[in-house]
Amino acid sequence: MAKKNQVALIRRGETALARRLEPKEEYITAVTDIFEMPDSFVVKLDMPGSSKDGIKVSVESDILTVRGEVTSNHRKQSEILMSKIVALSYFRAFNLGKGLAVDRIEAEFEDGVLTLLIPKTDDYKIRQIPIT
Amino acid sequence: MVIRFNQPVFGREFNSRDQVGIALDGLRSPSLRSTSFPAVDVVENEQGFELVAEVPGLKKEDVKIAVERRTLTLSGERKHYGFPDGTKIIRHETQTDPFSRAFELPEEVDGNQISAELTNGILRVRLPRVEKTQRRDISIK
Repeated sequence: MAKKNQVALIRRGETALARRLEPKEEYITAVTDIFEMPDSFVVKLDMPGSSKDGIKVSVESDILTVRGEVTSNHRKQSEILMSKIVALSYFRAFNLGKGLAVDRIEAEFEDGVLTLLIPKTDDYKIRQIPIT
Repeated sequence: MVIRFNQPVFGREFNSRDQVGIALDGLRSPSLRSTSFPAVDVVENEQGFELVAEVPGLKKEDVKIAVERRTLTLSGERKHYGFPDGTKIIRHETQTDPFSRAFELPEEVDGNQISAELTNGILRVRLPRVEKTQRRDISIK
């Protein structure tokens, strides 16, 4: 039986891991929306200028990391007159609590937005049913 | 480029109820985009000028480009993600306010030749230069 309240504490080890996973070079923190649905979590990250092939999503010890290279090359052979776009690469890391089906995460990239669907496990869902 | 070192770094906005939390908010990362949306670059190349805007999550029909006299206006609105009732918002960083940005076009841009394309959340508006003034010989009748 799962424990009633599995508090996912941020342990010292995890923070060290998160720090280790962080890229050494400068990056942009991808703007993120997170939604909870009955069966899953949906994470949406803005990664304009990146592409399907330039994005890497991985999970290590309950930390989900997303990296994306910017492939837009509008600055090549051009003189920059005004510059507000700073992205060279994107990065963001997430703590995943228990009860998520890490092996069934789905990813989709459209219009410069990466969508991750993280399903809850049956175990998680059972725990969420209120007892009346 | 501003790099902030003073933000809380780990475990922000994460508790047992929210099973997906931000693990790390950049030590080496510039802060989240906070200036005017969308971010725009303007570059000049052999063909003319190019206006490049980051518009993630916007479709062709969500963006409007208008030229009036020497002013180009880029406007639009990012639609909210449509989710079924009961969806809980855990974190909301994206901007969904309507935006409008205006740019003055250089004299040498041909307003009738402007074209635009949208790929992977990057909008590129091409502003070609007017053909070099052609020499016209006028014959004497």
